[in-house]
Amino acid sequence: MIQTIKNNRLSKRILASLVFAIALLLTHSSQTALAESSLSSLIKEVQPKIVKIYGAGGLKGLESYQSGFLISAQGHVLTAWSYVLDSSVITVVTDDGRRFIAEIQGADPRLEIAILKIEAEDLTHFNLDDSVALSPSERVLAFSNLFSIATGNEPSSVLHGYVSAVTELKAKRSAYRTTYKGKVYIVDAIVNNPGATGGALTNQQGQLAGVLGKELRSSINNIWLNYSIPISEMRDSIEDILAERSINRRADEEMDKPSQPITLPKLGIVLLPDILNKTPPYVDRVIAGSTAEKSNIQPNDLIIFVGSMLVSSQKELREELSYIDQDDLVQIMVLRGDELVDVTLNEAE
Amino acid sequence: MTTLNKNSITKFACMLLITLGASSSQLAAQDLNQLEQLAIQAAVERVAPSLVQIETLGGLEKVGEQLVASGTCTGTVVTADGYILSSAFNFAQKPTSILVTLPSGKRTTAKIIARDQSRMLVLLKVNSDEQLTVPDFIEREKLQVGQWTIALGKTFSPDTANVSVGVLSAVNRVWGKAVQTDAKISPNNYGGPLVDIHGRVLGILVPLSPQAKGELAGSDWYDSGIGFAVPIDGLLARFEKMKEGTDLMPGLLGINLKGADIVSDPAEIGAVSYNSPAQKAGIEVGDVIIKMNGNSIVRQAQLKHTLGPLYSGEVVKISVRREKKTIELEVELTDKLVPFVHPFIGILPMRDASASGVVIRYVYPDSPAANAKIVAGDLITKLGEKQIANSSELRSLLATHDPEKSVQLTIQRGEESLQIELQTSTLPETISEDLPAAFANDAAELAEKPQTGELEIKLQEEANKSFAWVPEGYNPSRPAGVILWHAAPGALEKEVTKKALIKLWKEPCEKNNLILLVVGSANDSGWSRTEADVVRKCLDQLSNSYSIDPIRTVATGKKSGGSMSYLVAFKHREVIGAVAAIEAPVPRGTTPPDADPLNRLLFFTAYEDKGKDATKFAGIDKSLRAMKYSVTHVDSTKEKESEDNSDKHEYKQLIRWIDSLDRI
Repeated sequence: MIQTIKNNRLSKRILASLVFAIALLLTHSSQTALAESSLSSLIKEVQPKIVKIYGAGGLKGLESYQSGFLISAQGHVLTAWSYVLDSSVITVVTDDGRRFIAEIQGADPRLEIAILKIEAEDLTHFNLDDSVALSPSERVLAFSNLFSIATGNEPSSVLHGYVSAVTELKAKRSAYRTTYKGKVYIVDAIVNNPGATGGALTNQQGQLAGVLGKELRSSINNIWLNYSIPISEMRDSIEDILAERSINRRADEEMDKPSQPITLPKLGIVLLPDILNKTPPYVDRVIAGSTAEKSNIQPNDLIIFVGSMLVSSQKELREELSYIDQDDLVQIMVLRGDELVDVTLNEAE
Repeated sequence: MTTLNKNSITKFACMLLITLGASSSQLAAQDLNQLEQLAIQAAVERVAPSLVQIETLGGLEKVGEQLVASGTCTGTVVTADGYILSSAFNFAQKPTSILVTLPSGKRTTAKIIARDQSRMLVLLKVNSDEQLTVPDFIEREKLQVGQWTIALGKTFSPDTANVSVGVLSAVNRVWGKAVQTDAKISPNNYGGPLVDIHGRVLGILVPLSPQAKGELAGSDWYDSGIGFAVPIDGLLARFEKMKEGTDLMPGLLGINLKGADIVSDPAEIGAVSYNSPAQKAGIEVGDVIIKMNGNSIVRQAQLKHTLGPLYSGEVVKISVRREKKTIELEVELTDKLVPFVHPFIGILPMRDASASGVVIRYVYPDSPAANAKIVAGDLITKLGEKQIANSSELRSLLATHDPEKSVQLTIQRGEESLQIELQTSTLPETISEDLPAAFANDAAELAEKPQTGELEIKLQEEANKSFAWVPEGYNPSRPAGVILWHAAPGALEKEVTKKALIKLWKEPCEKNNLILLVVGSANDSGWSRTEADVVRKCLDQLSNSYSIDPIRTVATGKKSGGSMSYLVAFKHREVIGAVAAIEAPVPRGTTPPDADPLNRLLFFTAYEDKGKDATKFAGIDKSLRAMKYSVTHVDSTKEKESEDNSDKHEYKQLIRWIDSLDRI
């Protein structure tokens, strides 16, 4: 009711404003009111879909709460798969303050998501079919119960920001210690806080775009990353869980590795002795008759890329080669003096 | 209402008219947000062709305690023929190779041509003939606080820019070097541009700190809502010089100011560095700078703001007030000052309260004083023509004395008055054997006895634990030295540590009129840099109730506590006279400040000369000595294992050294 009254009043004001606008006498306040009302009414529509989740944890540095959101009228809650759910009793508190004991319907640890089920009907929820994909510099809203600030029927917290980048976590293979390595939205708001995990990321129309990720920092530069996993990445998994089908898990990264990978000896490359923690992969010599010799690899070449992956040490080079089958082409880039040279190795005779 | 506003409102009105077709106020409002987003995206697209992704290979893995990326970062094109600006942060690890992915997708090598050490920028040149797209720049004068700012980087992908949006928070920060934004600035966009809503570049994103120096300074503020961009309009005039490979250095004048409160004290000269531009221009101690480059200077902070953005080689116009005259001067700033060397005449003063001169407690053998036949018990009354009231006056007068000229002392020996001329030498690094008592007379009787023994120091807003131990014989008429002990992280949780510390320092405190002040870290896992200010607060609180002597206040600790001592002393030199670091390095990434005539610092280091970190520790001693500091080193190799620190050789030596901190 309150909503309607407000909207009525607002329409009147806008009509009035228009008259002034035509007369070039429009004041600032109506603009402001408009911009504000659109966001605040939209937020009020989204907030009932967000739930607070309480479970295991409570020890030092491990909070016993996280966030989630409703994806069906019958009480399916999408959230992050985490230690919080590792509890005999998982409590879900909906936006209106009702408390439910939730069952885990299913989980996909590879995507780090889980679906909980509570016994309720007619719940306001996100329609997954209306979810959207985001692109950089789009404005976003993040809904979560960060730091467990809200309790009972208090609405969840809203943060606003912009999509900073759309990238893959595996683009820096060793940088992030997560199981999920796929596509993420990097956000410029500080959304990944304790308790925010499992919250919802929407566009500025309130359409669902992603699930807020865990607290994660780069092991390369120690920078905290604020990210969200796109809904599009998890649609199949969600449907499998809802249909109570066993999840067709794609093989994890280790399983991507071929059984017989290519190695430096097979290519005919001998590097300088690996004496440091991060010895740069300089070529010491090339074995006569090898594919490296045919492709004109030279002593003192510094190998800097395997495919699109930057390799800054011998260890990283060996790791990267372990993903390539011994019969496949190997594309590398070497630094020879000041020149960058592309080299294809392992071409068929 | 301005025309600009009317314009935007006209547009808005038109927009409203269009959306009225849908007869929904919601939609209209939504369109405003949409338009905002479209404008931001257009700005990003406009500047994106001028962003390059940089990859660095090799170099150090760690700079200071911080891990640094051997990986991707950002640069901004500044000329079509391949010059690129980036942040010095991105190259702190001194990479062996630098690769740049041009907007065309082509990857090429690049070299560092020059650095701007004032604004922490790096100029790169790519090894390619490809014509690059130079972005539009907007002059700093046109900026307004509150306008949209968009920060861009190319860390995640060579094809698309990563974006953070905010507003301009300030136009004049870090002593005039930078503009400030609340967009999220981090290693993800250091080196990239900060642009306005039209895609024009305001400046290059860099971490900066108003206090700390070095490539990493300010990076601990990443993503905090306080980010800096360096406008390059001031830089363009010097661009040709940089292209030739000349580094730009901050311009130095060579003065120290009197007083410590930069926002209230006037810019009165406390000391003029020897052989500095200030000295050559004839600036004297006692002059007050009232104008610089047309800006009137009332407080010291204004001087820092005017001087901060200037480079070495620039000529500044200065007006100083000397007595009742105003003198106009022109000074060419330099990039390097001759390090100040603290003079030494070879005496320890008595510590009795005095107003008529300095009574000599001890004369160092073979010192200038000994060679001039000065003996213990002599009273120094004058230096040159100036009357001397006490030892701190003598110390500061000597510090500003021209080191090439000899010193004339007037000495009272019994009934006799002597004129003695001597040439100062440098502070000794050896520790004197048993020194005579520091007081000749009994202390004044006290009506009310001050609180002694153990007392808790409480800081309401901080988690750090702290306590002091005041010796029984403390007397407010005799300012006490302070042993400022930085406890090992977590150690103060245990009562036994407290007892052991008191036991260790009790005797020297009683004997040499010292107060023990122990501060613990807020976090059990370690000390953090920012806690230097908490330590200062503890010291301030102690000095509120007790009379203390800064020259005999020694910041000390073992391992991480010792490293913290360096940080505290470097940051709060006006209240600390010495550092004693036991098995502790200067934290990496921290540069010791230059020796300062008015705030003297002495150093004591103890470590095992054949221990595993000996080379590192010795390197620190060496670099401090190169800055002309006096560093006393003691080998702490254990002769026998002992639970009780008090018999350890290095502590005995340290206690003796502390008793000679007020040497002149």
